[in-house]
Amino acid sequence: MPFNSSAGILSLATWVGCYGADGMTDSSFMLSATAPSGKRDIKKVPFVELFGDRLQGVVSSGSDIERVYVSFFAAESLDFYCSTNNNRSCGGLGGYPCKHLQSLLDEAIAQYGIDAVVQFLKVPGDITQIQRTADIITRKGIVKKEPAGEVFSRFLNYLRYLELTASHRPIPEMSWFV
Amino acid sequence: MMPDSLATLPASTQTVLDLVDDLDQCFRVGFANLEPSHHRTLSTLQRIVNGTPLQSACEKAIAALGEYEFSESHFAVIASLRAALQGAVFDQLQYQVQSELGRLTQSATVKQLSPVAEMTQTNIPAHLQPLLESIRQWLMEVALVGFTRLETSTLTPFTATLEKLQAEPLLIRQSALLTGLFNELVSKRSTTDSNNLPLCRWVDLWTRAMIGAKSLLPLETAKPVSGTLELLGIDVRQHANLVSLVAYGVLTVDGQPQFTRLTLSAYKVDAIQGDEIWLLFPQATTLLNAFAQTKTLRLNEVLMLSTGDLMLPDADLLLSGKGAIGLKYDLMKRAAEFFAVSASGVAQCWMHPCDRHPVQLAEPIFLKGYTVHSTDALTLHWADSSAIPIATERSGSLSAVTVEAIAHSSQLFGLLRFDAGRWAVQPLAVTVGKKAIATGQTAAKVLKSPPKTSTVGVLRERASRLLRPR
Repeated sequence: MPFNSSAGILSLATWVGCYGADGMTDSSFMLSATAPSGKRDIKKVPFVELFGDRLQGVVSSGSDIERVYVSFFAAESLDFYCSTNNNRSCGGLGGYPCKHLQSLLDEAIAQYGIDAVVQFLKVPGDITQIQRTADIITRKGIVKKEPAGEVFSRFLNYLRYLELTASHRPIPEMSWFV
Repeated sequence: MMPDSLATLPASTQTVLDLVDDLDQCFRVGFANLEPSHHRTLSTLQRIVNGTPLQSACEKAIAALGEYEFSESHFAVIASLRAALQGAVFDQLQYQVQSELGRLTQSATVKQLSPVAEMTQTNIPAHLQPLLESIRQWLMEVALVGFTRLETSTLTPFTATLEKLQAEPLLIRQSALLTGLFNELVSKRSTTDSNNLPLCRWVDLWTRAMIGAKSLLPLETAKPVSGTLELLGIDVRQHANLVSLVAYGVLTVDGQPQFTRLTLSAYKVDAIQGDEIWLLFPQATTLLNAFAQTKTLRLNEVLMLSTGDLMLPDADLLLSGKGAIGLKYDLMKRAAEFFAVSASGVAQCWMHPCDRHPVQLAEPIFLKGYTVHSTDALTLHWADSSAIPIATERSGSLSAVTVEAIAHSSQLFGLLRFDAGRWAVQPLAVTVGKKAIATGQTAAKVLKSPPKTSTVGVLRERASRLLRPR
């Protein structure tokens, strides 16, 4: 069958799924190499990650350029917390995720896609019904106070990547990454 | 047309690949939980290396693992064993593809030009010893637990080591690899079902990491060359925290053309995506300008490694006086001249034995006269019923060579790649109508007029505010 150009809008990554069922087991590559990345609002949420057992990150304060909030949702329980990097609890938390936590989720979805976020958080219930931030928020856990230090240092480390210098040497190891 | 024989693997290649797969099952369950079938695999491997330099090290390691005696040196032996098997597959497949394309003579010449003796044995500086040791220790723990049982608690303590590693320019290769592997293990561990692990991939990466943590990877000698470079394509390889541009082209020195590669890399964060990636490479402005306009680069005393890799200076070519933009050339015409199936070929790049793995095969090729089919996989077909699939697994988010472009193309330049037991072609440039489309053509424009606000800009501002010396 000649190429059907109506399929042309598909990205090349989609075709990876065309391998035989056992074809990928001995592949040096992953089934879906790239995450669906929406437009990130990096000013509002400079840092978000799925790390360990938490979706965590840093959210800029709306009023003070020097201040940031450290927020997280725990996987499975969906317990959450938000505080300044000096461990002052966020005023917007009243047993309910504050606007920082909601922005954090929005940006995680933009970065990793809703499916990856829902899978990572192990959101309980019928996951086909979870399509946006609010659907996750309604399944929230409780406020769980944790020090901000660890996430904040992960954030500083994240920023540090932009100051690291790489060389012009060949890096054959990068052949595994696409 | 394509040589038909590429559709069939040499029988011994399949045997070795099956063995590698058996060995990988030990990593699935973890060496602390091996079952009789896994021990049988290890004995088979022992028989294979008997009579080779690996024999006695393997005897010791496999006996110890059988007794549940664990030391990182035994795991380094397992890594060498797996790397040796993959290296053998690389050699076989490279021979297969080059003999089919009638290119064996050229690569033989390059081998003579790049004797192993030219490699300098580098001793590990004392201050790096503890760092490499803690990498090996962590890799051993991962191997003991097995990829299906990995817990966050095995993974997260490695972040401290990783930070130190990233700050060490001498260990850029180890850092690039381990950062990518660590990211995958941390984010995929909990979301990947255990029957569906990218096992072969993770053991590949584990193996490379172990080899890189055992010795400093070889630093080939470099000597300055001057000549004319015609770029034919750019491959972008990236994970969340590092991106490499690998440009392929033909360098003509004193009338002698040779295939060459050059690599530019930058650390980054995952939020930097799409066209913003080019902003990380201001030092490549002249190179990317030349590529955008398909004009040659006249290189002046630029270092070339014995592998055939060019090493650009840290500063831009023009600014450092190492290069200037020359005359226009016809990319596809040049590709056809050197790399068509029937072409006589040119001297090739060379992989250090340490680095040989099927994933590194990259045989340049020019193809035309095909039709594109999409029945089960995206495939190029010829009237003589020969065919080759497109290596879609290598196509990243930044690739300008889309399915649509390939479908409407009349000719292409790319690399013959090997993965998952079959050859495929990774197109780097295609001709659609009268236009050549290639990844990286738009980069020069992005660099020339960067957007007012970019992810890179915002994060740099945040970094300067929050990372100030405290």
